[in-house]
Amino acid sequence: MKFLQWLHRWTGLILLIQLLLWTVSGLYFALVDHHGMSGRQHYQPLQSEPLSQTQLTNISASWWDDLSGVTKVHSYTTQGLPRVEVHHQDGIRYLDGRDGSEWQTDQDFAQQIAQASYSGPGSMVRATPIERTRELHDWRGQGFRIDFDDDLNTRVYVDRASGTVIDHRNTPWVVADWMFRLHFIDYTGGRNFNNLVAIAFAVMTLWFALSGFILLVKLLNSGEMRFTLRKASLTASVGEQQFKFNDKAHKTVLQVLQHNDIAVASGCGGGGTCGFCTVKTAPDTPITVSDRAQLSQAQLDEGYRLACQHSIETLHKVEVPAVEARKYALQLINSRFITPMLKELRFAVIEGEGEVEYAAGQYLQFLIPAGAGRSRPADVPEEFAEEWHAIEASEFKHDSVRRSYSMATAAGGNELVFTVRYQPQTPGAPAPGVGSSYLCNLKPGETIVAEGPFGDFQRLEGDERKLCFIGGGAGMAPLRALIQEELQSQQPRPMRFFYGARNRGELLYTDEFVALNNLNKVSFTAVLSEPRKTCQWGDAEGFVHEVARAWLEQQDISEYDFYICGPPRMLAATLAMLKELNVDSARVRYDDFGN
Amino acid sequence: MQYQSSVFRTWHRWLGIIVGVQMVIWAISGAYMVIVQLPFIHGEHLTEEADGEILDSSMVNRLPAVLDSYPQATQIHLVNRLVKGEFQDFAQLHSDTGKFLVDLNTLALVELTADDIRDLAAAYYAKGEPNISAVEYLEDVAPSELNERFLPIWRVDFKDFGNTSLYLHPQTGEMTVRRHDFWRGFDIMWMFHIMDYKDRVDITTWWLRAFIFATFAFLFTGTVLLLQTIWASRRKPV
Repeated sequence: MKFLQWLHRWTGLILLIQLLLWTVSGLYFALVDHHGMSGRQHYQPLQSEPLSQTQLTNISASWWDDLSGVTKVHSYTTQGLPRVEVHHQDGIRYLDGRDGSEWQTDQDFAQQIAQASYSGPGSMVRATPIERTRELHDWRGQGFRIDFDDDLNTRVYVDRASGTVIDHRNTPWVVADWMFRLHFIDYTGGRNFNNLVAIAFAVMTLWFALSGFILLVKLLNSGEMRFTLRKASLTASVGEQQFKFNDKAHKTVLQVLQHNDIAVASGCGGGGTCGFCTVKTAPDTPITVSDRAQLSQAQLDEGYRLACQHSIETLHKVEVPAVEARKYALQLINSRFITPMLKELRFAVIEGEGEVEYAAGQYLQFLIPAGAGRSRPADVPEEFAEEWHAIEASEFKHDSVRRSYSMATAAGGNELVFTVRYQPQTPGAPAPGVGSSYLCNLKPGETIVAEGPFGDFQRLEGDERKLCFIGGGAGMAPLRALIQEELQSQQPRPMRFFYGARNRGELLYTDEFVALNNLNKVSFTAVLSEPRKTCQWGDAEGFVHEVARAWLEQQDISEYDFYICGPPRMLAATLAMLKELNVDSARVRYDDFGN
Repeated sequence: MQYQSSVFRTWHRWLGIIVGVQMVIWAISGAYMVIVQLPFIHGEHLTEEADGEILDSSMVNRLPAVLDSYPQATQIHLVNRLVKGEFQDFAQLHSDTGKFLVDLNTLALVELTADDIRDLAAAYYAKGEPNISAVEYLEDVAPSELNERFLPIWRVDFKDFGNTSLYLHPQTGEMTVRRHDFWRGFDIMWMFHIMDYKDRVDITTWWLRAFIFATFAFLFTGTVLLLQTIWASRRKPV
């Protein structure tokens, strides 16, 4: 099945143009008919003329006694002139029936027979001597082209040797001739459809049509193309919303979902070849060949299926995964340590896909392929070597995993920026963090696939609201994106940002926020929980949620919306703190990146 | 970008049911017609010239007398043809109503018998030993492989590979039409190709036109799907 689809697709690509040409020319033939293509719209056969006794009496065998193998002597009259043809072993000799001399076609005679063969309304305008013409592919010799001034531009061709009308040609004939060239793939004008190119195309087309036909029969057999007026229903849950749709039972889940404006990714338009339209349903749902080809065994066991492969007659209830999510191939542009354990990775979306449309605060899932990971990146800078001292270089094997990372900038730039904190091996764990090791070892130029965007960690609406951000460590990334997005809005609302880290070396992007603070765009406070002497820290110390609390207790807390992101303990403590302050939970958004 | 699935694929599949079978028929019949060489189809290898050489050129002097007896003639041919077991010179006359042979000595109309036709057909036959299985005079009813305008005519069947049939003119004995199984196959392919299942000549039937229009739609939907899938597979994750 897959092979046939592949064959059908690629032969289709090769044949595309010729199939179109065949269809166009075929339609032309079917509309115009033989007569319209013959060039003989104004043709009539020459009237037969009576023989005279004289012309027969005049014939003398001495006229051809130099010829051998004579099989036929033919006497007739054209335009009142007696004529004799002698067929012999080397061809035909044309004689003047009056004296046996070689037949001569002068221009006057040519015009007479041209006129006699012409039934149209035009009159003769011109006679041109010719030796060959594109309009008579196989003819060579001496002749005349005689033009008539009619609507079709008729021209009559006369052969001098035989003194006969060869054929009529006109403008529709030229069009038809091109159609024959297209249809027969013979651009010499010889209308020979037994040529090699035509044979090659014909054989390929046979493959193409048969593969399509077999695919069709398989579809019919599989019941995928059943047509029914019966209705069936589909219950779809998208996030927390539930929908119920009624439609014809033969429609696929994908068709019904898309028809009802439920966004489902689809790259191939329902062919079962891209694997984007994944939905979750009962694990005992039958598995189609395409399901198996596109999804992993684990996914199949969990009940994931392709929405395009199942009709709503068999599938009644599905969960549709996060909308707008798509896969992107990303190429690493730049990777640099910005703290001893954290790298900033900048990616470009490759293959001209343009930008990923996302809201600040959302994340992508990186599809980390199975392989061998390394515990230490090769490019640890000298200044951070001390922190890496204790980590031994080792290799470990890992399965393919998905890891989520938030975009660290607002959308709209050419790059996607992520901060990846390296997760060292913890006691008892089999290996260091698989995703972070992989991403930290990724080299510029290398590519990785990510899916997304996902997540509802997004700004809340309300012109009068103020924004309070509380974050810690690598939780900086989505908060930074949210703040950038707010700053890009028409009228940025007041923002307060508490950001905690253990020591000065682990603070991310602080220079940037100190600068914004000085411009009065964001009120920024950095908090260190374990400052070292070398930090020379004169600012806030302690846990970030405590510093934030001290400040909030002095504020009208109802004016604020809260955005929180950080390590689990920091997140839990902050949420507890807000609850103690009786903050409405609808006013709190947080990103639990749970690492 | 997201593709609205299904519209093009649904159309392509349903059009496939309507047009697909005809596409296969076009492909098969087209391939046959393209691969089997046309001169072979026309049976040019089946026959050769069977008129003899005119040795007595003085026979031309009999022509005025022939015209005297048959003044309606518009063309006159001096030929040497196999009749009654031997090659003889005849005048072959063409008039507005037909053509016929005239004995140059008696000026009488020559009537060809079944035996004459059998001899002539054997002489025309170029595929080795002629193995004639039937000689039949067709007066009113033409077989499907023969245009009615040729009637009446003699049909001579050969028992050979391809079941050759030669059709000879009843008055002159001239080779008129050649048929063999490859021609018959070609004719059936042609019938399927132009979809005129009755007379196999009309290339302008409304259903042929309708199928061609449907083929445009079929090609269009197929092209969209082709571009979509190639596009999708290009950015498909590894």
